[in-house]
Amino acid sequence: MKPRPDEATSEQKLIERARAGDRTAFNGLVERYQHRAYGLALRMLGNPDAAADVTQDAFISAFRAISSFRGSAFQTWLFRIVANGCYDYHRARNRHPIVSLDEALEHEQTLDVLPGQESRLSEELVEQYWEPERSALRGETIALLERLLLRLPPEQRTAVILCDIQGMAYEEIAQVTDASLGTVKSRISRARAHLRVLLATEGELSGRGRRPESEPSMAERRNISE
Amino acid sequence: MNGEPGVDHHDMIEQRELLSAYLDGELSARERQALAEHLTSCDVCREELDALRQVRTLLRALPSPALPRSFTLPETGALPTTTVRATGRTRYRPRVAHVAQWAGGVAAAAGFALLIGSAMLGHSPITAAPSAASNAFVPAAGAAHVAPTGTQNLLQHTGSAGAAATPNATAHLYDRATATPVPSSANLAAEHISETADIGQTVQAVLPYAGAGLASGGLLLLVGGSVVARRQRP
Repeated sequence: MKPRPDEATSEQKLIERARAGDRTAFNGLVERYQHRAYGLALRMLGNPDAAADVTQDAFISAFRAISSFRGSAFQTWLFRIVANGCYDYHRARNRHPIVSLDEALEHEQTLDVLPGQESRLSEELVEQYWEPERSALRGETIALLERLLLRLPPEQRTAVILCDIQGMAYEEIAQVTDASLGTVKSRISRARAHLRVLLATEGELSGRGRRPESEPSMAERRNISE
Repeated sequence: MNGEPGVDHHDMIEQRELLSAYLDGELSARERQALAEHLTSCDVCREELDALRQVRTLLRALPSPALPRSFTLPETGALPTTTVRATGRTRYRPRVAHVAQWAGGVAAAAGFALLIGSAMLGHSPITAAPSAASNAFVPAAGAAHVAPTGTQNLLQHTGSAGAAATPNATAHLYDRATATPVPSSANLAAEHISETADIGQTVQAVLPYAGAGLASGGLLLLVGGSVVARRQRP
């Protein structure tokens, strides 16, 4: 994820010129990071239009604020702007994310899965997620995971996205989210545990060769042993 | 249940954090060593590690979404303005978040009050002075609790918004992507109305009139405002 040395130098040059107001140079940075930035926003928000708006705003804000960017990693700084944009999006739309509900749920769920009880997802369940020979995830799985990600409390969601989807180290994530290392570690752990429970209860795909399942009945057929 | 001394499985949450960080290579060398040793003899932790790894593997296999368009900035000319939603800022100042939730009902009520007030006035002569017009709204039904100053300031703002009396003038108050009224005027109304006393009573008194909520309330505010603005012209 870190730029190679030659890339780093040219990126440094782009940043220098962008600081001087050179938009073309800044657009060089945009081209380098826009895919990742959009991906982050989309996974955080689940809404392509909103993600596009947040991404565009983030680059505009970044250009305006480029003079205050000092050294270190441009990506970290940029992602922080994107993540904040996502939080602002929720606030401006009066979306008080179901934090209280979800936090309660998350707390319950992680306590539910105790040692000694079923903690792995069954092989059978996991097999259905993949195309033959595990070459790629099935389309349905992708949709499922995207949906389940949105069920996580925003802080957990952000942390696990930055870790597992953007491949960032904990220290970087801490900077992007303005949190301590311990908090980052905790959020990622809870997010994974939470997702595991969600997959176990709702992760059965419809096209398994059985009769098509509608969402409610999938939820009913819980097979968690407790 | 097997367990090395010193590993408390009742504190699985913390243990899980260790395992999760272990997966990410984020433990110190010493922690890693200790955990690796523990795992050789602890089925519970091994199972937990496997479960965490399964989730991580699935997430890492998610393809990155296609870019819908380019986000490069225009080379020349003004930068596009950032959208309201992304910055969280509206035209009218902060403190939005905490009033936003009940602003809907209050805004709708104020909107209704304006409409009722203007209906009551009918064609009675209205002087050019905004204050006179706004005072005329004071006795409007259901608006008894709304302070004159609140309404006046509200009218001035919506009046300026409606002065051009065209859709374009009010368009900036709408969230352009979703075409719902941005709660900016509603929040302004809420802010000013909140300066009156008995806000709780006000809300309860006008709730029956609240109608469809924020969208209609905002719309009514704007409509009422532009109606008044028109009448003010000689």
